[in-house]
Amino acid sequence: MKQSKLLSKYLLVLFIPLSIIIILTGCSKLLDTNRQGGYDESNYPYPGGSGPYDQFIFGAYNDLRSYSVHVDGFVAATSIRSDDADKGSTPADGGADLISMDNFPVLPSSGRANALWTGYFGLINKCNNTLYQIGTNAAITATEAVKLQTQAEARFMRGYSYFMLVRLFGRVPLIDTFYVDPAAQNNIPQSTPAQIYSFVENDLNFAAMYLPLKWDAKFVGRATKGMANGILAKVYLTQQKWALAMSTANAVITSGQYDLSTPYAKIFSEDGENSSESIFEIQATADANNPTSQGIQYTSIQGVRGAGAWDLGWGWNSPSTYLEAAYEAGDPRRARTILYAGGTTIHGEAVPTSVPNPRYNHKVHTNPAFRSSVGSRFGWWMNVRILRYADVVLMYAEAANEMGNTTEALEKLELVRARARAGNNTILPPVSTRDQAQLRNAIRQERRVELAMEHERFFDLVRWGIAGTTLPAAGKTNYVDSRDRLLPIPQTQIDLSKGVLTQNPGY
Amino acid sequence: MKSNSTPNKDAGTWRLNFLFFFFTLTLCSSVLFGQNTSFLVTGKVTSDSGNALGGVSVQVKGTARGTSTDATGNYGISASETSVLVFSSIGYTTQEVPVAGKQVINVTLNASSGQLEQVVVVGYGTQRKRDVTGSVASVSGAEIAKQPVLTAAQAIQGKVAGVQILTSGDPNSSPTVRIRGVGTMLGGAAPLYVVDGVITDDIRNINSADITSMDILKDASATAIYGMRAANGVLLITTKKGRTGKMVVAYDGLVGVKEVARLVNMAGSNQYANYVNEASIYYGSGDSLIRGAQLAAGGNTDWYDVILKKSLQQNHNVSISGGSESINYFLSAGYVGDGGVIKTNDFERFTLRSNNEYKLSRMLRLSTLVSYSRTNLRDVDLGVFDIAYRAAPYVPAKVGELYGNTSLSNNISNPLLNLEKLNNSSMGNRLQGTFSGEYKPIPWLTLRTSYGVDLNFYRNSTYRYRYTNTGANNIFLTSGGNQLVNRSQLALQADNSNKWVWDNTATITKVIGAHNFSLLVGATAEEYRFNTTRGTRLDVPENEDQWYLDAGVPASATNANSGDRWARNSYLSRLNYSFNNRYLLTATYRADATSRFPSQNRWGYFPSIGLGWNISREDFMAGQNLFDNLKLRASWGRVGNDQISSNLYNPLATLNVPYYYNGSEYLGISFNQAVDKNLKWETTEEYDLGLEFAILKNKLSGTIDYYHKTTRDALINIFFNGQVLGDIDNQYTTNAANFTNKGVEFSLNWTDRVSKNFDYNLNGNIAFNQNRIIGLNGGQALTSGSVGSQGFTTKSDNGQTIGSFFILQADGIFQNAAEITGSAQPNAQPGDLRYKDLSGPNGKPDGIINDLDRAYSGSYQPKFTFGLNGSVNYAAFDFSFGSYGTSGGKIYNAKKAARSDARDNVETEVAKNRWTPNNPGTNIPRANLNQLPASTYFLESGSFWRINNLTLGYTLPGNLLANRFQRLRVYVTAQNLLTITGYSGFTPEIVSGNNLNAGIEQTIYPTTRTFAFGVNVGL
Repeated sequence: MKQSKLLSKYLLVLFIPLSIIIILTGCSKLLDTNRQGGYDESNYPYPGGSGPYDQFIFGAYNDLRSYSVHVDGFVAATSIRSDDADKGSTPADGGADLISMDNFPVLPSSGRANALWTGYFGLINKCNNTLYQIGTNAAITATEAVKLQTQAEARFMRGYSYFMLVRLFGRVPLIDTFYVDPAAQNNIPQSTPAQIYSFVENDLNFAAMYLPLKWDAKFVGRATKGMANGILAKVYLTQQKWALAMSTANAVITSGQYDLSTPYAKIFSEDGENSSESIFEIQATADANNPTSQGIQYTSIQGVRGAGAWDLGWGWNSPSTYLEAAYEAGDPRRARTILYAGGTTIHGEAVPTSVPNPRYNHKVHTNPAFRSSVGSRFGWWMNVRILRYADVVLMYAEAANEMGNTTEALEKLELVRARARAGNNTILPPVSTRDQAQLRNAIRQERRVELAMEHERFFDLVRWGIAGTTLPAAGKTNYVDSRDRLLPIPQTQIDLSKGVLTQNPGY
Repeated sequence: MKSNSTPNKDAGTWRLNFLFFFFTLTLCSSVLFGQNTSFLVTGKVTSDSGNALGGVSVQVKGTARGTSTDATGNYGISASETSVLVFSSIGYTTQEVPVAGKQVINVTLNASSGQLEQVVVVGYGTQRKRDVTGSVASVSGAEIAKQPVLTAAQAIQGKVAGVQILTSGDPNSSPTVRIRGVGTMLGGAAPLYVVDGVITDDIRNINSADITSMDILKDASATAIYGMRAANGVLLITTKKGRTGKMVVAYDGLVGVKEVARLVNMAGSNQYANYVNEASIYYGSGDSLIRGAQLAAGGNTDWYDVILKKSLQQNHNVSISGGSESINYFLSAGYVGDGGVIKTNDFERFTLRSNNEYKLSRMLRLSTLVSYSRTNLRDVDLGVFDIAYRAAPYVPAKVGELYGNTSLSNNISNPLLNLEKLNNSSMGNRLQGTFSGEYKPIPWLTLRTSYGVDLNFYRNSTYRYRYTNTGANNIFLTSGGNQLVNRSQLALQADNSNKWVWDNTATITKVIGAHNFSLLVGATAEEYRFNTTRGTRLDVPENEDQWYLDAGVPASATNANSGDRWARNSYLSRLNYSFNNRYLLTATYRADATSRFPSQNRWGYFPSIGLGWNISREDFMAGQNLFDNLKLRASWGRVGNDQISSNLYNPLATLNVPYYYNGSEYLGISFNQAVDKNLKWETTEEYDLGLEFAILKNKLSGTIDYYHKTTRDALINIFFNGQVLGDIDNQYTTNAANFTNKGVEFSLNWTDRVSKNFDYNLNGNIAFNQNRIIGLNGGQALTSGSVGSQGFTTKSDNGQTIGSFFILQADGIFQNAAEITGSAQPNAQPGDLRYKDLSGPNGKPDGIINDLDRAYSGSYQPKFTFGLNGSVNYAAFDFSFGSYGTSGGKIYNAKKAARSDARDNVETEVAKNRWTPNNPGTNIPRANLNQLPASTYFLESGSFWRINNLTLGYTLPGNLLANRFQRLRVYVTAQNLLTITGYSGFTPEIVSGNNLNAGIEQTIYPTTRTFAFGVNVGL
């Protein structure tokens, strides 16, 4: 009896610690605590059916609205740097960095240069992630056609982003894949502009092949074949690949999706959004409860900088006197481009004479009816026009002239001038010269006024090789072509790369 | 990744297992129940000075049976013929008395000033102090409870060498605790708190009056048993338990006044106007900024007077305790009311505690320790402390219902308006409970299981009043400016968290001859879940009864909900071995797994070994009578830190990034955070060498410790070229830094009982620590501490102390144009600060002052900290004092440095003693329009010495109490009476959770002083 009691005692002694160990080791799952209220790459619930990759590609589209992509640095680097626009606003507003965009040189410490760098690379990363998901995510079932189409959307935006980066910075790192472990795989050195252009051509060619001609009305503004070909034509034009530029522009012209029927005065208003003129527009919207969150700040930074009801924005990017002087007599496009202090807006409002700047960008002027229905003066609902049909027509004309195809060039140039004339045959007479150099100048002049304040001018001057003479002549006496046609590589990025990234010449 | 459902099921299995285990325990115990014939032994315990001793523990040796003496020293306990009774009490030598048939045993206990017999809590158990091989310290509950502070940690300031406590007057704040220097860079910097064996991060719910003792584990030999969380030291809190005997009812109360301890004098209107006008006339537009008419029409506001207040502070505690042979109980209720010192601030805490122990049999004990706390807080925005510094004094604060318009004067908001038009109120309910069972099937084995839960329910409602600066509803004396709230807003937040900890341990204790073994093995697991919900709406009415989201405009509603979850699983073991009470060994080994690291790096292993030699017990010491105690200790160990956010190794998806086609929303997703998929434990390895001694019949005792801690793989943020890969902030968290803390600690204690009526005690401690970063392993130096547009102020780099100030070196003042010509500051004016041109792009002075001329200028970490404490008991009077100080730390006076508008106010000293051509001998630069660059001009010594607490008490003699009371004591106390410091700001003590920039005073709650009257009643 005593013996068995003792035995049970010792059994117990053994049993309890053992049971503790077993209980606890059986619970190794305890430590697999998934992230609460958030997903990671491994557990995001992908919906089936159509558009299974939409959420990834929409993440990329969302970046198009970003302040770093198409707002502040964008306006400064593409427009304020050119001879068509001044910084605007009050003399000190925007600080030394913004002033340097107008007067040169932009410093390597420029916050705007850094924002553009990070903005476009952020967009590229989202495109790369979309491609990565299509390539590797076994949880999504999709048809080959859907995969190709989404890849095409991603490669369109990636190609467009690199086209921006190569024109802004020259040499940038070429990141063509999604890095699963960026902490371990980073610091890619820069590629040459030639390598980047070749990459951009590949992306845009792929995109042009697999993007649809148009989307269902509910997806108006989503990437199309026309967008890819239109941007690709500009890529060729920039590299002076005239034949390819001409044929690619022609693909847009003959696609049947676009025409010049929209009156010039209407193109830039709210009611001109996504018209038959429009090829690539950043989509924005707003309502009374969401005056800003669904839109883009692009318009707001350029709006009339008045007081009270005329406080429509910051007044940046003011059209210059050089632009004002560039118009032919009676060209109605001038009034649609330059809004004068004391003048009248496209919507019939009288601008006070007391506003701080003599000229504002009329193309971003909002309709007062929208201001009142949204309850905001700042125009976040305005789409941003990135590429429109007249641009493609003029690209065709330019390439045709360079190819010696004078008749075609004159014909396309006249299409644009005819619309500008709006039936008034006393102005803007047709260009008739068959001298290649004179026609070249006429086409350049037409690009300048037709696309004024639309972010083409600085890049046009650089690709035509005349920035070095034109900009100093327009008062930008600090401009040094060998240095200032490219922005500096942001010093922040060079520092973070521990010297793997190298600075552009002259900085 | 596993699916979400598995862990839930798992948790269910856990509970089942737990119940099963518990039943098994209970069942087995009744099976094995057995008894020898026993009888009642009674007696009285007195001290060597003849006083009855209450609260002495009386234990039947080798059993769990025990009781304690009542207030008159009497006890009664059931024992058998062969039992041995063990009498022990803190401060007295333990005595063992064999029963040997006696039914009455009276005992006299001898005082042991060396406290060698004192039992200290060491984590998953207790040990006699003389057997401990690690560096540990104890502070008694009485010492803690007498100070009018919220948490026990605040009350041990200055009491323990090497434990730096930084406190603020913020009524609901946790102090910053640093044990043996700064132990981490990015991970959780707070020490681990263990309340009655249950680990926690926050002890603000623990009523100080409920605490028996607080033990501080400092070195790795002591802390390694808590391996995973011990890198910043461990504070163990033991709460009061009932004692067998008559019911004791006690009331302790204190009522006092709380006020700001130190103020900074700001310039009055005229001084202010002189200063800013001089700046503008001579160095700016040439015109006055402030006109005589403005001054004449305005007031002379001391903005600190306006936003500060004195308030009532009160503590009330009632407790009932007692017990029988089978149950001990302790029940307490406490109330703390503290109005803070900033207007609208208010805090109340109500606590309830019930600690019960049930002795089901000789072998089985159960205990339930449950506490509830309720807090109500009206919080304040500490930003007002900064803007009150800058606000122009000629602007009146408030006249009638109209406020002064500071946004018109110098483009800042009116601090009083900020306080009054924002109601940030929260309510916390916290329930903490531990249920444990202890089973001793055989004398040498103790099995213990304990299940602790910590439930926290928190609700915050923040109401932002609507007010306007123009028109009919204008609330300003002068309309205009830019301070207004167009629409009222209510933000509601509800948080709840649930944490459980389950500990299972087995302890084997064996004495074989002169060999004394104790082996502990155990397993523990814990899990934490947190859920927060937040909603806001606009246009909610001002009436407090309408402060519900439903009262706002539906279209303006926003809502957010998120959560957190983590878990740990650990196995632990400890061997204590001593031979002949002379040679001591403690070896611990703990394995911890945490969900915060990826599965391949989840487990961390934390060993330690400690050796001790009680030299005074050696035979060769028998003849000497110098040393009453002499002990040498040496230890080595490794501990860890996993206190980073959950799931940092998993990239987080950013959801719901929208794009709009045709006005309709389409939601996207993006990944914009690079992560280190290989995160692992941050570990600290520590060596400690200690000497303890007592001489002069234990009157003088002391401890010397040398330690060397090396922290490796410290978690820091590394900056990298990641934005091109889609990382939004160019940084990720990884294990990269290594650093050391080494130092020496001394403490000395003198205790003398001169006569029955007179004893006194004096103790002092001093601790030196040096902190150095010894490697960044590819990581960059971390800059931090940005002040206004000054950019960063601190830099933590290789070879430097963590959080070192890295700023320009102010080098006097330019007196004339000749000094400026040819200097590195050609645009300076006489009266400007001159900065040293230390370097340039080529590492040589380049004649330009910029960031390359910054230099290391010391850090907030003191070179040494010290405390001096004492007490005197004379007849019925008792007197005690505590003081604390630090030396060698630096503070960046950021209120001064952040002054950025030409019309911002300045300190009286600056206004009066600024540089002018007629006052060239000053070190204060000329009147300035702009923010100055970050320089040593703003850096001051943070050294201070402070009398923390002064208490004088009187215990009414027994004949006055007429037997109605067992005890009645009245006392007056002053907390934070006097601070001696050269620092010119509000407080040299900066409470900060960020170790990289902890020495910056900008929006810090000021330190406070409290005078209070208190009473202790025992019934």
